[in-house]
Amino acid sequence: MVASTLDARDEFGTQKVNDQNYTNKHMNQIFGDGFSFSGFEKDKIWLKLDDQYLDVSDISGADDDGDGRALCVADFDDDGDPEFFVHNIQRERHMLYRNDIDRGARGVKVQLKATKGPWQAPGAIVRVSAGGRTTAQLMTIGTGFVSQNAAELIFGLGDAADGTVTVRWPGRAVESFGTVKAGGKVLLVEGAGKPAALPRKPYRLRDPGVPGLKFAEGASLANLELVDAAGKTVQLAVAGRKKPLIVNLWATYCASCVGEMGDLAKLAAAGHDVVLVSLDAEEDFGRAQELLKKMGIKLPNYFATSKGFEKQLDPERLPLPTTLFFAPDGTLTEALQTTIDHWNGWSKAIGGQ
Amino acid sequence: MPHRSLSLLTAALAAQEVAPAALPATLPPIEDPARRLTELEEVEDYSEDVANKFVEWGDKIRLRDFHGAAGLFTDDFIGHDLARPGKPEKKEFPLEVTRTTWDTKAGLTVVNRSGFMESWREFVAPFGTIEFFFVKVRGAEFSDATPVDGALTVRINIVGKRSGGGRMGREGFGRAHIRKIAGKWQVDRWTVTSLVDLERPETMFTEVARSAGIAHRGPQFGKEGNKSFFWNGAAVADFDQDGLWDIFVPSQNENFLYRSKGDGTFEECAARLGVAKPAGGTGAVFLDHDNDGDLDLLVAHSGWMEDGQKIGRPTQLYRNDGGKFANVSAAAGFTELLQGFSPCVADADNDGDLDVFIPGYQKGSFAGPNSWFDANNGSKNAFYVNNGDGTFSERSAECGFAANRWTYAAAWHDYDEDGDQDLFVANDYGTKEFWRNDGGLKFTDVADQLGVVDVGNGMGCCFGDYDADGDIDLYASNMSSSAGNRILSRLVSKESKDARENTLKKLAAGNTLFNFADGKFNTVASKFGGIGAAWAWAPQFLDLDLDGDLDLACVNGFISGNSLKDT
Repeated sequence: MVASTLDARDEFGTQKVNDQNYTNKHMNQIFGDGFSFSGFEKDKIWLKLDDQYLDVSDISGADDDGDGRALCVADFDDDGDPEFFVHNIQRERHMLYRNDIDRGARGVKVQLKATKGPWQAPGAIVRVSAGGRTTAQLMTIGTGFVSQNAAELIFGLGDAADGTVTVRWPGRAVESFGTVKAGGKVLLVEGAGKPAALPRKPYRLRDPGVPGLKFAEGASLANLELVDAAGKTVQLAVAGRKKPLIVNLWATYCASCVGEMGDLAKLAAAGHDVVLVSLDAEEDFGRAQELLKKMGIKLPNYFATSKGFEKQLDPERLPLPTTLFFAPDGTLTEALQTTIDHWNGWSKAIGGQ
Repeated sequence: MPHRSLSLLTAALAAQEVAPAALPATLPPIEDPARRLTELEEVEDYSEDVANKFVEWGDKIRLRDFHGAAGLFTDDFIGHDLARPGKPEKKEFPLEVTRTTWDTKAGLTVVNRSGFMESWREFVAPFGTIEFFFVKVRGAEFSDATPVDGALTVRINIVGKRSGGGRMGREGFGRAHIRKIAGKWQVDRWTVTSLVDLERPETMFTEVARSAGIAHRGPQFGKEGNKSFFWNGAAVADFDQDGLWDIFVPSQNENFLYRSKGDGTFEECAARLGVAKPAGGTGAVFLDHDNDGDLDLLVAHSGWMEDGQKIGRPTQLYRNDGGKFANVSAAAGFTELLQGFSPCVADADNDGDLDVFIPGYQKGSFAGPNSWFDANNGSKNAFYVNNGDGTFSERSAECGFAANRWTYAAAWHDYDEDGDQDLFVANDYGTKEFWRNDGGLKFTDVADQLGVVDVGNGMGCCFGDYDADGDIDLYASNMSSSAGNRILSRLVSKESKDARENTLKKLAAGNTLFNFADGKFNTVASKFGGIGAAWAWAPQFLDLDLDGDLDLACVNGFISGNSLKDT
């Protein structure tokens, strides 16, 4: 149910907030027409070093350029380090960032239960001393902007084996809870004087689909519609082959792709079916052919065009090189998104060459 | 490596370029025009026009359409070879982060247009995928002549996956000389000023909403179904107390409640549990308002009267009744129409139950702020004091809280450790407040004494111990803008001592980090970092690598339209 006029009412008998006044109507018109205003600004991550906050947004993988509003921190997968959820205002709205830094059991996770005031204990200050210094964090209900973090404070201990924990309960005294070992997840109950272990409930936040492919690992393809160097359309059979097919997606502008041509030739020399598919623009077909010739690469090379195979790709999100491994029945068994020498089967496939 | 002898352009075009033998050994710096255009409006028009031209061009580079991208440059173009941007100086940081700063004073070579495009091809070659190609005109001066020409300072930021694995960002500044030839802007000179690369062999984060089953694609902002400026937030809590973190997401047409199933996926159960409607809420918090041991849900909303008509709605309170939620808003005392945003909760009167502060932003029928740095035509900040029986009374007036500021966010913290909760309030279009709790629901604004007046566009705030010295520091997100900085740098000299002028510059400066020491919050010098976000919203402290230091995350951006073209 979408309201578009001032008269629209929802089931609560009140008017919807849309189109609330002239100014917003005017702005809606502008933004509805696709206008940008401080748009495409990337979310920021700063790494705290001894003497500075280093802007690592560019290499964080969490530098989405959607228009974020809320950001909520929680160790969703219970592996000890913080993930975060972001709410954008449009397009892909819900973003969940899994922490892949994976520094192991280097932290202590603390939940609180007050007994002399509201049990959620907002305003409590938890201090953890480890490795000769003390870090403080605040328990909150609502922080940042339109955001609530999980009620679990995550303290990194660095290389220390344990941390000493105190809680300043809101409006009340400081209570000492002794030490908690690195990797600990504890509940601190006011008055208990010692921590209670909380059960771990870890789970795996799975990888998203293969970036840049509109088909998943495990999908079956009959053939790939490609174009050869002469511009002729070719249906490259994927299913019904005698051997697995290895399809390398590359481009002349991709340094690693060009750099691994020798390895791909080695793979073919070892008896594998290797086919190159160039993603270069049509004007660069000649350039691609010339480059291969110059390098002495004799592998069959085709091109993906917008009318054919490219329809099954999302070229803007496809990292190069990407190498696809198809079983003889056409099933995509693996999509490798780095150079071929990182492939698990690499040394076996080239027979220890 | 791609070889460099191939011309990208047709032979006919290339023939008109500067012959390689005729290229100078060095390029002099690109100076601002001697006779500058001073009419601000005209300069801004040109700047925007040129900035948009660069955006179009940048998109061609992102898609590695070097033929198309060559069109921005004149036949007689000469510029620095980007593929050899001087001498690299590498610095290693924790977490295998490598920063390479290129000393551009050392040995830049000069190329013609074909050579320049070839150098672009090499410049982006380390990226397997270019996720983000950003080009921004950070400064522009134009001549007073006809046809007009100009000197630009251009920032380029390229982000993506390295072709060999991991991630990379390149950020560089350059100077470009631009001419308007037959109504078309073309660049005839380009010099490289600085270049910094950042690399890491693995990513730090992976976005997994889709595989976790919580991805949601909404309409473009401004289109049907997504027109409200009352931004929707999010709340994470273990609402069903099964030891797993769940997520409530207020939304435009129907709210989402993602219950963690404990296997890496979430079940959406807002409708089943009674919190799917009403939609349109802003900030939400799970709190046990009635002290019965389970988590209830409070959602801030916006609403006002217009022509005798009620628009929007009051704050919504859903009571947790054994796992399902019952809407008890009116019965609990939430009947007033507010412009509520980020609720923050504490036992402010130390009586054993939770009280709720709800910041209020614009007035319903607003016509914009009446000042950019001291607006007082905003709406009421509400303070709901818990009566201890599941109901609340709105008592902001007797507490002395402002009723006319443009407030997006606030945060409770007993900074003076006197046993009661004090309140920091971040205001847009103005100064910030810090309300010392004097007991008995009496509060005094001590922002000035504490050093947190911080005039600016306050959007969000969070408390945390940034320097790991055991006390709680403060971080405030403020909006900053390229266009704002560009215009203000033209209006206000760097050396200006004029308070009003410097207030203006502060308005566009960005986030503020405060170090708590000696009973005050002292502004940390901006060179410490963590400041230049952009149009910043929610900030949070988090120790993402568990080294004991609190890192920072902050989401950014106002509204992205159909293209990168922007103001």
